[in-house]
Amino acid sequence: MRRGFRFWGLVPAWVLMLGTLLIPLMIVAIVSVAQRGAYGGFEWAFTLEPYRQILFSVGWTDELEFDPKYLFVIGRTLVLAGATTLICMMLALPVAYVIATRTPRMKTVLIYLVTLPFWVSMIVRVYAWLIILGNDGFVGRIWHALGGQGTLLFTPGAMLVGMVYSYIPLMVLPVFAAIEKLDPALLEAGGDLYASRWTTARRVILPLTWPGLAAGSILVFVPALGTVLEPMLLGGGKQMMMGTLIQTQFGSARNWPFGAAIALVLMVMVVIVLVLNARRAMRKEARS
Amino acid sequence: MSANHDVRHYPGAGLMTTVFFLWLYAPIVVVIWFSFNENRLVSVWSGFSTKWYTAALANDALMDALRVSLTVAGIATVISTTVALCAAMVLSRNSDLRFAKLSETVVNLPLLLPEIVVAVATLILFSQLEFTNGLLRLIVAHSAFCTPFAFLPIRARLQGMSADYEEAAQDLYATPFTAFRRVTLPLIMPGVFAGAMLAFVISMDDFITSNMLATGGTTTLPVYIFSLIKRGTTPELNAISTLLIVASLVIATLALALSARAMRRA
Amino acid sequence: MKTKLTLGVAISTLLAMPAFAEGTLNLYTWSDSIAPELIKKFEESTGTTVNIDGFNSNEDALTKLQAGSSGYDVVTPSQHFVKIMIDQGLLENIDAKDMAAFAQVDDKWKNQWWDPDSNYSIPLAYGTAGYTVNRDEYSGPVDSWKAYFEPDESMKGKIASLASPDEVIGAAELYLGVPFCTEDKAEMKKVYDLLMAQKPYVAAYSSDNIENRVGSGEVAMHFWWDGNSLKTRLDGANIEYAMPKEGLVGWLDSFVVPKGASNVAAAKEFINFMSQEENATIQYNYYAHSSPVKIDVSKAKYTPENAPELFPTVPMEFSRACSPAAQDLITKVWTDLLQ
Repeated sequence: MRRGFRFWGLVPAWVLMLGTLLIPLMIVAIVSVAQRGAYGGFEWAFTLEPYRQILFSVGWTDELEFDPKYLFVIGRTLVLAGATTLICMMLALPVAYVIATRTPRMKTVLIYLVTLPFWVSMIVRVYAWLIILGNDGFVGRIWHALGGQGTLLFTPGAMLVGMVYSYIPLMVLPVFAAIEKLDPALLEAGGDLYASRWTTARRVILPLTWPGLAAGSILVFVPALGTVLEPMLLGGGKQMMMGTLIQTQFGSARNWPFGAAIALVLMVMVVIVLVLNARRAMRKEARS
Repeated sequence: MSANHDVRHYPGAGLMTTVFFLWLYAPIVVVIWFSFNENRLVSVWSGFSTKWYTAALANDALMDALRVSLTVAGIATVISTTVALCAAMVLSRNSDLRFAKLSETVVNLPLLLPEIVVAVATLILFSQLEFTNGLLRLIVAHSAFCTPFAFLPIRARLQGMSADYEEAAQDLYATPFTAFRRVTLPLIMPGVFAGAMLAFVISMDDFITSNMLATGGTTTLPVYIFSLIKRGTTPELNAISTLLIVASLVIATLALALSARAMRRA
Repeated sequence: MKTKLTLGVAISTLLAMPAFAEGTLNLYTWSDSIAPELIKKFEESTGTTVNIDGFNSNEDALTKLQAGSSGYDVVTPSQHFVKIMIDQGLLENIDAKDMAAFAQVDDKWKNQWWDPDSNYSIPLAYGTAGYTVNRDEYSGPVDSWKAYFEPDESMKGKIASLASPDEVIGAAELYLGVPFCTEDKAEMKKVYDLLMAQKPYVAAYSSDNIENRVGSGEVAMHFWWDGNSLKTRLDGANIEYAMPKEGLVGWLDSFVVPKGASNVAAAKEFINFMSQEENATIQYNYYAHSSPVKIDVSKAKYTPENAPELFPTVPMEFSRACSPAAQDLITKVWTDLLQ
């Protein structure tokens, strides 16, 4: 019985994940080298066309030309996800530090308050920013009062605000955990040794919280790469990111193989990040 | 020691933290606030009114969407919690298990992969299999991505609990199953409940996967909210969002409180 | 005990599920296109529950059907997409010609090229696609597509287009004199150049929420449909539907039943119901698009006097179902434009 359960207990999880993740992902890989149907869908015929499309387009006179438009989409995705991660780091460090230096009771309450918005539906959180940044919204009106032109919505800035807002709890939590582990004696030693607390921050706190920052970066960067709602609603659909590009290919553009190819590129990017992170963690383990 | 050396206090950090929390909650407050706006235009305040709640509750399409969301979330929660419980039991009681690390990664896979990629992958598979029932499509997909959310609190609870109880119980009772049901399960119940509630909230709130897979008559609440957003903002939309916010926050609070208590006791 | 409780909940929820399939009719129609009054009436007289989801482009409707069994029982695509859906085997043969609704259809819409044997579709509404101007924002002439595609400098950021290529490219082709569905790359390059030159003037490519965007003057010109423009004008917006001399793009939406629909009988019942003279009149008055089925003219709200939008004075050319090669060119124009 016990031996049996060791095996059977894991079967449901494996079946579920194989059926809804692993096998579908393999099919995505296959579809990414299939022919697209004229009106949508795909046909089972091998072609590298979808991947060629990422880099080259057939011009109006049948010539194959290098066309960086999708590279720009990939680049924009990396830049926005990277910027989101950086901004989250800069916000999370002081906030997590302040939280970590409160009384235990206060700590629990504050950490709970950081986590809570994460459980509110993503669509509602994005909608909130749609109202705030809109021309009639609070921030939109301040912008106009200050002489700002046009609308704040439908800009990369609006997307960035939405993304930082969506993912910030994922950065605060691990950074908080790392800071909490710091030995107060170390800090005080730092305070005694160095001239100012800013030097202490730079020389002592930052290096010691680095593992927390790294973990938070993964947690923020990976979902930010695949973000869909922010570009769709706050970016007005004009500023494509990889997530929206994939969505469009399976939607109105009806080019499944190309959508599958982009999805695979995104997957590979995520896997690279995860592998780099795992290797870093392993090196650290080996050292200690 | 001069104040400048006090490493416990950084000037501005306290202020920044206050601003941070304001910023974190302002959007949610804005949504709730304007749901009581009498004006048709969302961000132009013209008086207090609860009429948008009346309108929302009388909205058939909304009620249909709510029913779909509750059905999907309810069933997906039961499935994912069961799957997660089985997996967590095996993984935390058998340290010598082969492929333990791999299995654990597989269970947590939905957390590691971009949701949009998984959503299109599932869409392709389902359309190839001609798997047609919209409700079942949603239940299967939701069960998968809810599993890690159910798994993590249960696993944490089990890790914090000594295996002695079970072994003692197994010495007393005849079968491991009885031991599990009479001893382990009651002990880890807070973790199981917390996991189930988190899974429920995650399923209720999901947009990307539901939007990809939804079919006629299986529009979920977030997908319905999205269609309303595309048609323009109204305070009714705020009222609907407020109801969803309140539900999410209440359930999440319960779950977090439960798992925090469970951790302390364990 | 708790296990039993959970199990009980799970089972009762499962038992409640058939409520979604039995006696339910799922419609996928153009947004806000069916009179709510008629839905209520149909629900009351038949006991069927009706769910409606809206789409804003033919492409969206096709995409949903292609993604494998949409779950819908009735969809209302335009003529060229009816043809594509029939060719792709996405529709149920409902013997439309034997339905009561068919007798109500005006003869000129029977056995058309998209459904030559009238097996699959019953017409619901027809009209034109053109552009609407907000007269508070734009006072120039609207007798040509020139005003829209090659606008004045003052219109920068004041024009809006649709999110999908379908009728927009048709209109550009009418303006340039390029035949619909051409497979000639050089000709389509002209269309591309025209739309590319227009792009700096375009504030948004969006098919959602058009009435607010053009009605409020957020944009001065919007690609749009006749009846929607009419309805918004009668609601008090100072707008005008242009009559470009190069012609308008014609469309006719039909009821079709997707293959594998779970409730074909109710779907046909609904189509017959919608085509009854009394109901068709209510629908006409609500939707404000011309009716291809018989209506009670004495009760009709719109006449050539109060609704010039519906009675175009310029030529009208219907969109066609293009060959794969021609369709590829259309897709290329659009993706290159919107990248």
